[in-house]
Amino acid sequence: MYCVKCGVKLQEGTEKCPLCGTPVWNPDGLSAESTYSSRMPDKTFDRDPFAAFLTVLTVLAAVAVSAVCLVLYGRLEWGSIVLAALLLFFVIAVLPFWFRDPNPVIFLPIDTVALELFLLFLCLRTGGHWFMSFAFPCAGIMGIIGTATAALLKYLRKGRYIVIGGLQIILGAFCILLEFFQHITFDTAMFRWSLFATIALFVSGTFLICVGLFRPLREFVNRVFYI
Amino acid sequence: MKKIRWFRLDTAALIFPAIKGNNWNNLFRVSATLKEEVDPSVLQTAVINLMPRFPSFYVKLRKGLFWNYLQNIDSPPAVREDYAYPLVFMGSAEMRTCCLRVLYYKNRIAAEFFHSVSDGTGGSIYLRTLVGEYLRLRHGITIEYNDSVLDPGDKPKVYELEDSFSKNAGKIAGRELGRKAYRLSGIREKGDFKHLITAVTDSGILHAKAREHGGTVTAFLAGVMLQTIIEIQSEEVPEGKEKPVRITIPVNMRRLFGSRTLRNFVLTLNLGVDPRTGPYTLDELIGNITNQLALKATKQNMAAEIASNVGLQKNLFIRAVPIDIKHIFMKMGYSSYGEQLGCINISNLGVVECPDPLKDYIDRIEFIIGPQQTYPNNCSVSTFNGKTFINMIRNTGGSDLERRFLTKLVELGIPLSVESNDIGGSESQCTASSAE
Repeated sequence: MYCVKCGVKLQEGTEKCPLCGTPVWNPDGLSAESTYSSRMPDKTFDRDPFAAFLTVLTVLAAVAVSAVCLVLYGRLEWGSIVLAALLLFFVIAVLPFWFRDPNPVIFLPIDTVALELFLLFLCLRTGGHWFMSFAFPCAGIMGIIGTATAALLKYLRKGRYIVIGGLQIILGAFCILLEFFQHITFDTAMFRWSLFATIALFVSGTFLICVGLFRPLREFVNRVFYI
Repeated sequence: MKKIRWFRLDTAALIFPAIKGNNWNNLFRVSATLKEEVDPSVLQTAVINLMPRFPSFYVKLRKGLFWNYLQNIDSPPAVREDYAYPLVFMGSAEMRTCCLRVLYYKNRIAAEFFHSVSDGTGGSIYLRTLVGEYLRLRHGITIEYNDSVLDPGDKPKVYELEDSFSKNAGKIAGRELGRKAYRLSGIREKGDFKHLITAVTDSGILHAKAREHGGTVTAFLAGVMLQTIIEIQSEEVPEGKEKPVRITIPVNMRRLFGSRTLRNFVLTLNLGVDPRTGPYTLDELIGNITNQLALKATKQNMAAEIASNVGLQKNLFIRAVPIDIKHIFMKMGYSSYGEQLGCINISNLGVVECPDPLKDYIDRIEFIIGPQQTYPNNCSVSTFNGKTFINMIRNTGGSDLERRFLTKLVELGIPLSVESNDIGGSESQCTASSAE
């Protein structure tokens, strides 16, 4: 049995040539004997030992900082800020690695809440007045954008380029908002840097949306960048 | 010899744990197809029996503070039925159990290795010894043990476990880095599925054809592959903008340095041409590869190459850096230069010899290397009992490269019979067709 197009000999019963896809005439109705089984590998949980290492490291750092502060000052003093930062680090960077399939749609809101609480604590501890007018809205908007993007990327089967492009345009708009919050809180000048970032993000976001909308361009990018 | 508990990674092996990712790592497979169905329980006993003889193979990958290392395992890996495709991703959890897999399917026994453990030559010695032990248990045959099939009753030799890189490093370090090569591209398969096309031909005809064109089998296949990739590039890239086309050829250095190690002792050479310099005929391409091989694959040149790798490994400052930081820089270096200088590997295991009683029971011995991190196709070659097996693997949808390359061989007068894992299981069929 040969492929009429490639000229290679094929296994008896092969339905089509594995090289060119040309259907093979099989008058005897033979079926090819498979060289590989049909068994697909199980997806196993590959927990990173680095997570355990980081957890131990975080706990050790917390114990060391507490001990130093208690010995030196008799109370936590600046140690409370370090402890809060370590807790934030644990929630954001270590906790997801302990789960089999960490869902970003669940973890990103948790991270946002943890960040908001940390910033509130920092604001109260340092006697600042920047939480409600700057940190709360900025971190909140970032959390909402991140969660929405993660949900779209996770649950939509298609349209990744459009989602990422859209995210870039929204982030561009957010840059202007960020500078506005900065202006009303810290009395800085408006539009010193945000316009540049917005234009750059708008251009790259629009390009990605175009890639997502035009199939030949999308396939070209996938092929060239081996995605 | 006292019991060995752990091994330092050899110089070549150090890079593989650093560059492994969540869905890719560097694996290779050697397999033997017998003339009868494999009995898994006998195979399991054979795997157990080889444990004391191959201490450097029955290992798990461990992470130290500054380097990875291989630690001996107490219980051997369980043999398992083969999957729908070769070289299924080996995750960190599996590597922490054992870096070696033994698989069976119908008449085939396969061993898959994480590349830090050994190279193709070491792997094929393990496989032949495993098959020898299996057949001894199953049929009671008497084998004349030699360097290709080791006696499982013997103790491991010091020279089999040595790091030949450190031993043979030259005094002067020298490495040539050229322009980045052309990238073969493709739309990556979802998941881990790998397409394998095996072309089988008569080794006598292939050898004669290679000589007719003035090269060895490796140089001939590399020449045909160069011509194929130049052709693909010319259709995709405007004239004058072409990148160099190079084939990565692993060189077994055991012959050059008289080493008998079972661990890694291979270095790769990136050989090819720059298509901007003008068109090349096939004979010119084969001549080019032959001359570059003769020029570069010398003991002195290889010793200088080894010295540059060993020098980095022994540098005090580098040694003092914690492993995770080291891995970040190794990954960056590998993605910038490690894979950027070649378009595809052609790894030729050469003629795989077996003692006579074994030969009567074995139909094929094949060698398969997995796709690289940043390019989708790879090609590996082995010759056994008068047949040459060209295994072409890819993790992308289209079979353009294989079609062009193998059709060229047919046009040159080399008869080929072609098989694929796509006709196997229904799931693999679906995966293949959905991507195309």
